[in-house]
Amino acid sequence: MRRTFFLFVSTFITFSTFYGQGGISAKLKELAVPNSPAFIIVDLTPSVFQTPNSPKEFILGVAQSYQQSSDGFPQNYSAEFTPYWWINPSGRNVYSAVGLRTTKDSEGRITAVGKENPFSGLKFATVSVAFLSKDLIPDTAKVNQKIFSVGVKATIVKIHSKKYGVSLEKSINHWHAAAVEEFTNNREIQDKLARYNGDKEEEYQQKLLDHFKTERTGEIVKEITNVISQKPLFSWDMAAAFATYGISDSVWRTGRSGIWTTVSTYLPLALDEERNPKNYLNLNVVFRYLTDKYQLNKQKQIVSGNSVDAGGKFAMEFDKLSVGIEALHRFKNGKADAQNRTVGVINYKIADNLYLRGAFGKNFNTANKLIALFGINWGIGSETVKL
Amino acid sequence: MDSYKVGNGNQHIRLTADVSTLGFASSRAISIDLDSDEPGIPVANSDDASGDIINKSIGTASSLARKRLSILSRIDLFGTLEERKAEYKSLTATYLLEKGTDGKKEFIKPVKTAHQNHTRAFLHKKIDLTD
Repeated sequence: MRRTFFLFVSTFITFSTFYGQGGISAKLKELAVPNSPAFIIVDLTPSVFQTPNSPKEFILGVAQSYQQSSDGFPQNYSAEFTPYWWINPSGRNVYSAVGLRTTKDSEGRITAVGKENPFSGLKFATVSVAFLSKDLIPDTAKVNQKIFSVGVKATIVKIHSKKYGVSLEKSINHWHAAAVEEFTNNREIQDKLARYNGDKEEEYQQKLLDHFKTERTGEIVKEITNVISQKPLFSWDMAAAFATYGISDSVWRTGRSGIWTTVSTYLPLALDEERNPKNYLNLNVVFRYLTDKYQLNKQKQIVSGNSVDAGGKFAMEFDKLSVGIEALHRFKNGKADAQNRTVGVINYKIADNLYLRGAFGKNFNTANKLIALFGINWGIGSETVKL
Repeated sequence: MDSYKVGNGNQHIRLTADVSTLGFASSRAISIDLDSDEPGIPVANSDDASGDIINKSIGTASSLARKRLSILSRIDLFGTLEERKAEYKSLTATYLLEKGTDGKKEFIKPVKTAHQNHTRAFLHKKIDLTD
């Protein structure tokens, strides 16, 4: 336990140092229950279904399994980050951020804003790593292995309703017109900034612009973020991950690698919610190809094998509560197998920025077949503002 | 202090401000006479929420000489606090003046400040225009 904790702390410090130049840090209250490929590959996540999510710059995740809570402290940690935030490509603008196509002239001037770009989620592909303690070798010894896994995921296609793009463009143009008016209302502030010749210019600007008065733009931003938070009618996600097991203190062996794809649809539950739906019927289909060096065959021998998992998920998502069930069937080495995974997943919003998440059910024929995972999300927010 | 030699002729000086952000951005450029108490004169605005001002005339060289150009960009950031902080860090702008005696001249590093819990940011650039 101490070693795992030490490993985690070391890793966290490494990450903090690596990203420290940009001032990035993760506080305990910002920890989030992981749903990253690095966790999914070892079945240690509430759901194996990958869905479009908010591209956080950096997420540090913890998860606690009831089966491992001897001292109540989590043993499984993951970090997920979105490289896009650091590469800072040219030509970034709010239209590309919210997924709208733009046409530009030779000088780079936006001449037209078009429909939704279904591939806009690709740029927010994420990389994840995880450090875990779990018994993934189905032998007679009930000993946890140290596991390191790494994964990537991306939303390949994301499509909202036809009104999504039109509504966003109109609202964004509305915001810009209001913002230009607000410059006029704050002309004295800009005049003072322009005339300033003293030292500590940044400090002066900070104090002066704290008094910048706004009228309509705040409300318009809220309207826009409500539109952005709408779930897609159709999305296609891809993910891949690799896990290696610490068999002993100095021996690490390849454990699992896999690639999977999820197709999702979110249907608003009430027609009158068309403008700003919050309740959805969510249907997902997933296919996963997995190679596992430590599978148990019918003769109870540990062998290497391939498997294909296919299944679906049905969930009802309400404003604060989402309840769903997912089932996966496994085809091993090209043949249908008796193994399956059936899991109920529940998420409840306790308060702003505080979520309860749990998963209970039966896993494939791994060493620990029972899934009983519990976690609390901090700092993910109301998820009303997503890119 | 950055400066740009516009000259004295009737040629139109052109300004480009390229704001790089995923937030909602708008920009306004004003010229102001530091030797008088007259308010600044708006000379260019952004056309859309990219906040960019692309190759716009801001006046003739003779009308701008011995004035100061101020370009203020206001950016509304959205997302979680972590996302807003990340976007604030990567927020940049470059400025280009053309058609003056100095020809094409690029300016970088505006003064950047964050406000209201990183829901808003401002970029400001001052350039003295000489004859």
